[in-house]
Amino acid sequence: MAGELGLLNTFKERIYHPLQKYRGSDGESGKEITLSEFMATRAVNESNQPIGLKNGNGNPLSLADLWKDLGLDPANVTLDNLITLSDDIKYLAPELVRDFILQGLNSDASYMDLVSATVNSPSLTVTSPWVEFNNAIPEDTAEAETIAETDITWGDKTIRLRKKAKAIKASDELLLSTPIPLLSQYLMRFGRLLAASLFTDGVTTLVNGDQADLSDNCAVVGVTNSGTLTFADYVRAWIRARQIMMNWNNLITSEATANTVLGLSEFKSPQGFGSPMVNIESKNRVLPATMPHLISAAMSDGQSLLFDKSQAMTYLSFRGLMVESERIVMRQLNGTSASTIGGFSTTFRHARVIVDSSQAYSGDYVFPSWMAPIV
Amino acid sequence: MLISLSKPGVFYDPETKLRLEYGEVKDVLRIGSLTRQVLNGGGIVIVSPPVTPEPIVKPDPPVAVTMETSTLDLIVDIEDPIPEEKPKPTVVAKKQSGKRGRTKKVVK
Repeated sequence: MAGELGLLNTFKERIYHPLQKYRGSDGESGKEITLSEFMATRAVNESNQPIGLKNGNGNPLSLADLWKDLGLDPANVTLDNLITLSDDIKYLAPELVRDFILQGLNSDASYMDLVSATVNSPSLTVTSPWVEFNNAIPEDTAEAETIAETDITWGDKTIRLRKKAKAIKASDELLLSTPIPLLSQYLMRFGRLLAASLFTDGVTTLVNGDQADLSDNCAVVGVTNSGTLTFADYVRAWIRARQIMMNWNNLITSEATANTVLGLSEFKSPQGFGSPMVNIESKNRVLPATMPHLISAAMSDGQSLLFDKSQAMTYLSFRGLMVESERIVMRQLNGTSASTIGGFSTTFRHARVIVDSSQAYSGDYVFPSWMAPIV
Repeated sequence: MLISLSKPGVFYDPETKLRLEYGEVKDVLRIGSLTRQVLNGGGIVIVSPPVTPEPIVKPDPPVAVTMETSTLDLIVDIEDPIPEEKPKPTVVAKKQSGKRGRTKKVVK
C-alpha cells in the first residue's frame, strides 16, 4: 500500500543522508553500497535505528517496495518525472542513475577481481610502505641461545591517484519519453565502460608495476618450446609459486591467447579414462582445482599473466563512484557525470608472473633470483 | 624516437597501445602519459639511432696555375667582349625658320 512507510517525506532523513555519510566523501573513509542494499541493511527504521527497513511482510525493503510506497509505477515513470517531483523524491533520481551505473560497473570482470582489498586514501598522493624479509625462515635454536634476527629491508613508494570520469548529457526529449527500466539499460552500459577502464588500469599495473623506473614490473618466464604454449608451462609456474608461498591461480590473457588456452586439452576435456594408478595429493596442492580466467586487451598475444589475487595488489580509493547532475536550462539538457578517483598499488612483486610463449625458458626468461624457492 | 626497456620485463601503455619487451627497440611518434612517466623514471630509455660516421672527403688540392699553362687558350676561349657602341651623335634637325611668302628678287 502506498505511503505505508511514509518515505515520501522521510526519504532524505532516513535513507539519503545516512547513505551519503556511509559512503564517505573525498578523503574520508566510507564504503561502496547500492541504494537497495543500503535500504535493506543500513537505513534508519521507525525506531530510529540504522538496521534497515522492512516491508509490510517483514522482509528487507527492496526497490520495488520503495516504488510501491511512493505510489509510483517505474514502468510509467521517467527520470524527468522524478526530478520535477516535490518532496524528498527528487533525491531518488540521482540515486537511481548511480545504482544503474554501479550495476553495470559490477556486472562483468572488474578491477575488484584483481585486488585483494580496497583501501581508502586521505590524499591524492599516497606513500605506501614496502617490506622485504630477507631471511625470515625460523632457524634451529639451541637452549638459551640468542634467537637469530630477520633482516628487514623496507622503504616507501609514492603512488599518484588519478581521476577517471565521463559525463553524459541527456535531452529533455529523451528523459521525458524514456521510461526508467529502458533508460537503465543504457546507464548500465555506461557503468560497464567505466569498469572496463578501471580494469585495464589494474591489469596495466600488474604488468608494469606501480613504479616509474619499472623496478616493480612483472617477471617474464619463457616456455619449454618457444612458440608453443602447453599445460606443462603453467605447471612449472604453479610449482615455483608454491615454493615461494604464493598461489598464482588467477589468469589473465589476451583474446588470442584465451583461444589457445581454452583449446588446451587439460582445460577443455576430461583427462583419460578412469583414474591414474596413483593419485598424488600434494600437500601444498600444486594444481588449482579451478582458475578464474580474465581477458584483457592490455595483455600481449602469447603472454599469460598468473597472479595471486590475495597478495598482488590493492586499490587505493580517494573518491568512490560519484554521480552528479546538472541542468542546462537554455538547452534543456540534463548532464550526468560519473567519476572515481583512485589508483592501484602492488603489494608483493613475486605475487605475479608472465608466461611468455614466444620465448624459450632460458637466459633472461627464467625465474629471477628474487623468486628463489624458500621451501 | 627509438626507445627500449632498461630492465627485463614487459611494458604496456593503454593510452597509445604501446607494447615493449625487453631487448626490443621501438620507434615511437606519439608518447602517452604513462610512457612519459616511465621515461622520466628511467624505466624506458631513449636509444640513440646508430650513427655511422660518413667517410671524410678531403677537398681536392687547389691546382697551381703556372705560366706553362696555356692561359692564352683560356683567353682565346673567352669570347670577345662586345664592343661598346659609341653613342651616335644625335642629329638635331634645325628647323629653318623661313618665312613662307613672297621673296623679293633684287636685280642689280
